[in-house]
Amino acid sequence: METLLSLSNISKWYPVGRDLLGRPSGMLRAVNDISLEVKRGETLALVGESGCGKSTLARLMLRLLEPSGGRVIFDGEDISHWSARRMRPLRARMQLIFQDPFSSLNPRMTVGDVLEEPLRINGWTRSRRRARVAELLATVGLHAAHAERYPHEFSGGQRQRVGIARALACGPEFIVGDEPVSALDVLVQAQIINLLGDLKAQLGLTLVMIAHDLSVVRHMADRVGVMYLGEIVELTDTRTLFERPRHPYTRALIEAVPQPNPHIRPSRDLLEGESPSPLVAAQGCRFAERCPLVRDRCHSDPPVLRETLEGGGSHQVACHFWREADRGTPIATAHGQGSARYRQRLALFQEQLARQQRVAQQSTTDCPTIARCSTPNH
Amino acid sequence: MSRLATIPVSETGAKASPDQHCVLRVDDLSLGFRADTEVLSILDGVSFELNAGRTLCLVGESGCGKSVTSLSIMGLLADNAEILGGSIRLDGRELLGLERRSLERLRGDAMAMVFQEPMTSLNPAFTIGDQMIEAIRCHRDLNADKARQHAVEMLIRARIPAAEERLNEYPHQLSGGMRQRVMIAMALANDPQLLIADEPTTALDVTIQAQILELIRRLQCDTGTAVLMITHDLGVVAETGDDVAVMYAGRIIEKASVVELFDDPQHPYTIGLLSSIPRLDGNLERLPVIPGAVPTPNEMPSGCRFSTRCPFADERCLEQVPPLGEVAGSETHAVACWKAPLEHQLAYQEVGA
Repeated sequence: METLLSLSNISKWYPVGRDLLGRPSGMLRAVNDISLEVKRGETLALVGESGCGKSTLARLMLRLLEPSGGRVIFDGEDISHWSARRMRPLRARMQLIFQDPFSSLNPRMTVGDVLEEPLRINGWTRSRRRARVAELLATVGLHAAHAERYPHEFSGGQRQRVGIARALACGPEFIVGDEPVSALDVLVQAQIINLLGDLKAQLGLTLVMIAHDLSVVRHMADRVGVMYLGEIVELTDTRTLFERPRHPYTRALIEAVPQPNPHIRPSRDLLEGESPSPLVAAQGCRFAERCPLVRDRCHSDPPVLRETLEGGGSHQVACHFWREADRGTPIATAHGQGSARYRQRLALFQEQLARQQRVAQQSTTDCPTIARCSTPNH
Repeated sequence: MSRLATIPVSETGAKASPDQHCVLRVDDLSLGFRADTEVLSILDGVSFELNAGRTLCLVGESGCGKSVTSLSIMGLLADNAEILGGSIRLDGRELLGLERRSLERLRGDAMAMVFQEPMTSLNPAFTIGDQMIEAIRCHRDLNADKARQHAVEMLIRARIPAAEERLNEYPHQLSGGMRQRVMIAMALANDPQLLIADEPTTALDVTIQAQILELIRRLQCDTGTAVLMITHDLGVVAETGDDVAVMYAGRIIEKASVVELFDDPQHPYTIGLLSSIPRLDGNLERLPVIPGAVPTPNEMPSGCRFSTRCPFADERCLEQVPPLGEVAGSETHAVACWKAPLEHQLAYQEVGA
């Protein structure tokens, strides 16, 4: 697959504190020497605990932040140090969906205005903008009439649909979602996850999804990168990551997710302690403090992200002892699909739902609920 | 990392038998919010009971009334809330209509609450020690030194490292997980009969969430406190609960032991809720989705409140409220649905066709 975005040895350090002479007294290493490629058409997820640098990395990808070191290459061009002005034409091609649909929409603008703004900036005429807004609303499962309303008139899920429509407005090819579903209820979350999947397929998007929820990632991503304290510690395809994690941190992260199955209540390895401060430059492995497999070497010799597969595929791990960490499938990913009775009733429920939807569609064929979206004609 | 003891389900299921002491009994609680001229119905006939040492999970989406239920138990409702009927008894004592001072004596003593946001539920202007010691001395006749000692003990039990020093720190100096530990230590300081935990881990990272849930479970084992766990996460229910009540639009629509709920879900909403959880295991198909959204309080259907979204709904569902009735063969399982169990619908349809 063709590479759309490539990061090489990218870092973002922030000076913190001031000494007597006003010089920074320390460096916060939010992102530390990460190299990563995003392939065209894939969904890459970045997961980790708060403070691991995943949002900073996302903003570096979109060049909303300037890297302290390393390079950002988008579609063959090195944009690492482009000015905001020079970036502007590129903005239509790369977009961000925010986490909080409550604070990311201006409460004083109607949804129509919110969606028109990026189009206006990109020089669309008034009549084309109008048509495009209606088209966008249909794409994300809202009605054209919603354009007249204000954000407070919508539920969280609907607002997130507006946020997604805004990101789609100018027909981007690359979208970064910064925890796009973590503020939503589980039923709404499922709706939005499906919507993002549909849109990706319809529009041929490349997605980077930032998440702290591993179960969401499993449903959305082709590949997953696990971050810890500003570094990627494991990177591989989604299935492999969940079934054969090779970094002790990844395993702990998977096992920590409470599973909707009262029969497994497993004896789990709970990760003790919390992420240490990114202010302290570690001598060795940054995970050493909390690692169950820690050895002397880990404290002195920082592991680098390395390929652990020979031949086909890719499974990169930053751990000296990944062979020991690779202990088969975690309990959380191996349990069953629920009881027979539950499965039977779910099947009945879904059949009935499908039957009802068919009837509804026959009666109102002219009312598009989840409509297609054509790419904008520039 | 520590290996934690397994809690076999059979054991938790039988946990209540030695001590059937009922700590909390909510009976037919109805509540509304005054808006302009009308009163919008928020809770409608909510009933449940909770025994000592047990954990009851109230689960549902935002706006289903689970937090309002907990606030009405604590007597912390907003001024525009109006109790329309029912009763709430803590250890046999009626809480509704209790005057403010008596409620204040109970809060933090016989009943305590841990909130979702550890960032905002501690006062930033006072040290952890000030706040804990105040909470202890409000309800116990202890001098400052003794109270301080007790606070340190509680912090140690909540597994907060360097407990003594923490007492002199301000909330902003602690991480989110540590703050939630402090909240739990403070809530349990006076050995309450009832602990309400309102989404205690929603704002936390998943690894910290696992630690906090484990802490609550362990402290509950030590103290025999009854825990009312408010959550939207069915994973948390499966992991922490003994019993569970599913709420939808201000009503309890299904009540069961945790195992019953997951193995034998009756209500179509419960089934939809269970199916829409993104799972870590193999099933990677498209997530099943219940279309539409929860009706707003001013457009509630007069019958079953889920009828606007339920594919099985017929005229009776739209018009008549289904009672919360026992599921055949179980004393602990009840469902409010005219159509449950769904496989019977199939039989009727076949007969009809």
